[in-house]
Amino acid sequence: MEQVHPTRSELLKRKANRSLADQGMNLLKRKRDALLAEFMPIIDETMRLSLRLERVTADAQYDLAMAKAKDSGPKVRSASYAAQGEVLVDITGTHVMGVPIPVIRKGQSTLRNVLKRGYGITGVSSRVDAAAEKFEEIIDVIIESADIETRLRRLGEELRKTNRRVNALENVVIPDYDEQIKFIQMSLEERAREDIFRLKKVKKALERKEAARLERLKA
Amino acid sequence: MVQVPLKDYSYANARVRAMSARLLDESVYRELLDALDYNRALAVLEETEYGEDIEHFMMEGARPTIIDRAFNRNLIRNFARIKDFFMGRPEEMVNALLSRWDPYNLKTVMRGMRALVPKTEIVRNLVPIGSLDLTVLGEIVGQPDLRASLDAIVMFSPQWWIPYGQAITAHLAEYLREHDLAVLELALDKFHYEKIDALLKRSDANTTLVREVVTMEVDAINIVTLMRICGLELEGAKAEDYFVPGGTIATAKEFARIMELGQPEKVYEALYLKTPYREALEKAWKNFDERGESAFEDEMEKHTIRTCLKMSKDPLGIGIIITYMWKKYLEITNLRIILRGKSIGLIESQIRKELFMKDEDTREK
Repeated sequence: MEQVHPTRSELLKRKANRSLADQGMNLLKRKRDALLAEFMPIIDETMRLSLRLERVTADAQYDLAMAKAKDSGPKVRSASYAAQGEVLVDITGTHVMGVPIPVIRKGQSTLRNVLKRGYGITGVSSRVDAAAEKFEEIIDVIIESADIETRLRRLGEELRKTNRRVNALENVVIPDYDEQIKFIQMSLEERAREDIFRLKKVKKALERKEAARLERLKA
Repeated sequence: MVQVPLKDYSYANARVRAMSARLLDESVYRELLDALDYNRALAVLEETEYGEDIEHFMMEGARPTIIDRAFNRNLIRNFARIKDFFMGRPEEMVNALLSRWDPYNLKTVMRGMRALVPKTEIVRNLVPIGSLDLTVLGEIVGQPDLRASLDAIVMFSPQWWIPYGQAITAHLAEYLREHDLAVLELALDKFHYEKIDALLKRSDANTTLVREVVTMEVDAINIVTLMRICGLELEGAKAEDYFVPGGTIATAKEFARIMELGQPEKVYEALYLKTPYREALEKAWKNFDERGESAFEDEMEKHTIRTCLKMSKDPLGIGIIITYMWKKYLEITNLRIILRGKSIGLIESQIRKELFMKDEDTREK
């Protein structure tokens, strides 16, 4: 425990601080609850997206393997050379309970129609198209996942931070203040009791003195 | 012994029949399907005719990609042997069958050059069994950039016997304006089939058989293209641009009319009435919801293979060669399916579902 001066002003100061810490803790608890309320649906969404990503990736791998098997690897690679284009991503920002969070959105859909893949469709089989479409879907899901996972990570970090602060206030700062207040109150009470005792002693001494003086006068 | 090229099919057909005897039998497929994993399936394959080709690439590894190249080598080796048997009209017919690889090779070169793929990598993906051999293709790939390659195709087409210079010249300006390789690719495909169509004007039995094969190829392309693009916004292009001539759908207008129907169901119905592939189309339509246009691709390919496998009735005609070519193609496709399937951990029943006509083929044998 830090050095505490057991004075009334110090007691008032500590009580004021304790009340502030209490208010802070309640506020942080409310923030934590709000963050949790935001966090839980994001967890569900992340789980849903990761399952979707897993499924789409498996489907894409299967379609690619079958395209390579039925059309031959060189034909599929040849078609892949023709593939061009870019994936545009819009990144903006927002705040959730004061936490800055990037918002990642597709600039335009990554799903292209069959005429936009860079090759002449009369020379590339629809099996290659099917595989290409699945991989485009993967990019789509990855962008969605990037947005939701960044949100999840940021909120998770904030939640952890808030929780740590609540715990610190609840288990360290406030009990510390309580202990200090208790110590100051006990010290002040002790001092008051000593004062009363001293006053009584003085009073008794004065009374003894007065009694002796009256005795002398009578004699 | 030096083989003198012949102008008839008798000797060549005997050789091709001997080559047919080397095709894998059912017991090898059984062993391959029963193999516990990819490596054991590969070990089975190493004991067959493909062992030599697999060994050729062994230093580079045994991944499915490398084995694909071994299959390619085997295909090229066997088909090149057939080409060597002939001269004159039979040679033209065999070339007509094999030249479908020419546009593929040119497209691969153009795509690779534009994407700045290393030249050795581009060459690896070529299948030089058409009229353009590896020397010519190597020269085109050896140019410093795509524009120089296109110029080489145009300028040296008479000297290098590249018949596609005309198609490139006609569409080069459009390509340079739009920077869309699909323009040149579509032009190459159209030109190729127009060229083949002109070559197959005669009405003798051998030409008729080759025309039948090419018609099926073109029909498969047009049918699958219609199913792929019906209902799509063409954005400036016309439906006719995607039409390949030489098939049952005789004109680009007819093609466009079917395309204008918009809905896949209506396009299917029109194709069902218009083309002679009712059985294949019916099967494809049944699987359309689950597999999309790939169902049409698969069924048309199966129909072509099935028809070609029945063309070997005349022992002195080109039918024997057509049947062998498609048997070989079918064999390699099925081997690729088995090995790819094993490499991604598919079980036997899953692989069997993807195999091309294995049961029908077995019954025939």
